[in-house]
Amino acid sequence: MVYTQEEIWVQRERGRSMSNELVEAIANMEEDDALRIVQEMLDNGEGASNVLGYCQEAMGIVGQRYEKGEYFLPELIMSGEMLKKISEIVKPLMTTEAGKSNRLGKIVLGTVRGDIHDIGKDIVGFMLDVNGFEVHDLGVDIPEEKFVSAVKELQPQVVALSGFLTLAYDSMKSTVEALRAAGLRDTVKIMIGGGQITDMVCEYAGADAYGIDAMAAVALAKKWTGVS
Amino acid sequence: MSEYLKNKTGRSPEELYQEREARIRGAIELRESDRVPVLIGFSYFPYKYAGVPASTAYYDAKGWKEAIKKTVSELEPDCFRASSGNQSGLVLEALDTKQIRWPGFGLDPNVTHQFVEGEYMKEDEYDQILSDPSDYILRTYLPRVFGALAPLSKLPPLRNFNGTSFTAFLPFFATSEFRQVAEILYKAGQVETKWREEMSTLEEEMAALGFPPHGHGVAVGGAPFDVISDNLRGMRGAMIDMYRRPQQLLELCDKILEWRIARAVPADPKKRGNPKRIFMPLHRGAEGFMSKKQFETFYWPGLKKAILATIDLGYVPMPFFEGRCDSVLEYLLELPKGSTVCHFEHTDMFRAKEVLGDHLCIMGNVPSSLLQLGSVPEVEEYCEKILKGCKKGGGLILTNGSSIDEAKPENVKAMIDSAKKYGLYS
Repeated sequence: MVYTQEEIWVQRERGRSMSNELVEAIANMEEDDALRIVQEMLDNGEGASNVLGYCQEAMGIVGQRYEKGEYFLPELIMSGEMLKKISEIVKPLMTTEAGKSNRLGKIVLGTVRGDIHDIGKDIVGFMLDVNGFEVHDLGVDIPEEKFVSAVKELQPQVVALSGFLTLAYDSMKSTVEALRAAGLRDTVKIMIGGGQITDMVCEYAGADAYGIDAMAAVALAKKWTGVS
Repeated sequence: MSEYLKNKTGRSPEELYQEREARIRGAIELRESDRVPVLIGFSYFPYKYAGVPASTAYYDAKGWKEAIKKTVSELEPDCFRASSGNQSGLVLEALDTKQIRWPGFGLDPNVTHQFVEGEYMKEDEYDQILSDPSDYILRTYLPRVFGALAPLSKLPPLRNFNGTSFTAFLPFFATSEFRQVAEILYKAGQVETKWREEMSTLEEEMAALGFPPHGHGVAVGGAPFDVISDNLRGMRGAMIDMYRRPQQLLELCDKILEWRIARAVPADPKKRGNPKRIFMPLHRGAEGFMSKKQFETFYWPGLKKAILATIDLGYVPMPFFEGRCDSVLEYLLELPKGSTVCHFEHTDMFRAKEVLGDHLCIMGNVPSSLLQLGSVPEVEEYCEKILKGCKKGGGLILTNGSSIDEAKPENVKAMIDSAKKYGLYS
């Protein structure tokens, strides 16, 4: 198709305002609007990886609103749902594996031995991923040895241990000790999190820090990987 | 054990019971008695204390009762809550239960139980559960959450069986599949009956040793939103429903409350300890789990109705606010004065006292991490602060904020003794 200069300008402006609309819709939890705009953008020839870029921009706003205490867990989960739906539309159209390179750092994440809770861990993993980290989620009820072999193999900068039950305190401690025994303690920074975690638990377990929520985990990961 | 306690304290169990009960009533009624009462709430703590596996709570009713008796009698709180021993492990096994894992089956015998949350009710099933709840539960939900009941999904809807047409359906009952379900239910029913007979005497047996109960019963439950979030849609599902189908979510909350009120059992005035106290676990209305607006819309209306209905049935509701609830304390002022005991986990007790002190009894909040990892002096220091800061005018019960399953026994003892040391009203 051949466009006039004016048509190109109108299209570009429309594209720009559509991208703003998309970012706003996602950030405002307006799912139907967001999906409609994505489809419109793709129909107008917008690049699939650009769409994902706008999603990431929207997630930045979601994260800021969460930190300000305007958004809470439902908004993190809802934005995850929207991103999932958008990815389903967009990923088949992508020609390159965009988003896998230029990651800010590598993180190994898991719920410790004896604990099968995963909701908090999943949210943390999602927020870390959306904020540019390469997250390797080992799952739940992960024994010490599995954390050790994952760290050996993947050489992450950060290890994130999740646990909801009070028995997790000891599992976190023994996981940190296992990493030390394997000579890996100094190669990683370790954060812990979960409903019953306090400074006292962090000290007991020998972790470097604990995060009260997903955004705290993102802040810690950024600090530890030298991201400003 | 009665003799042991009489020798130790110089008073009979009945005298001690009355003394402790009076202390708790005083707190609930916002009066200063002789001192602040202290309550220990636990699931599996007796396992470490009495030296038995935690799986005892699921496989040996007598043994578990003995462990509870030993724990409470030796530590001597004013009140106790045992949130365990209410499920038989054999029954859960027989039914192939999906929603819970428990010690002794699939889990180490010395760990706590864990809920296996999931979207057992799918997002497009609101119409079904709202229009025909019994059908939905029987033929869709139960087969999902109990593996042994999967064949029930083959049942036809029952709504057309008017006249004698039911007989056309009988061949289903002759199938080997149904026979298996029937046998499992029969055997499980027998085990469950025996288990309940054994465990139902716990509160009476503890009262005979001088210890009033925190209390359980079959009233109206807590917030209907939690029912949907915990048992039906899962946490993710319920949160997404707040956005994708808020009207249906609210409708289901209303219906759940209606169904529960219909089946509720009033407090029995002939039984000991009236008005009866009743435990009410709350989960997903805490800070972080929803905004204030979402709390106002989806959580509080149902919870308030549930609490008021519970009071109408003759109970003193004891809602347990897990997590932090500092920003929504003012809503609790909408409840009748002196009607309810608010149990707080991470909520600031001083702020709670400030907001609710003249209105409702508050209870809490010695942290699990402190009781598990701290020292006796650290526990005492924490308890002293709470007691001195919040005891004025009555309306305070000292208790653990949350789980003490892995707590050091000497720390639990220190918490109990702190009330006796720093909780006196002059």
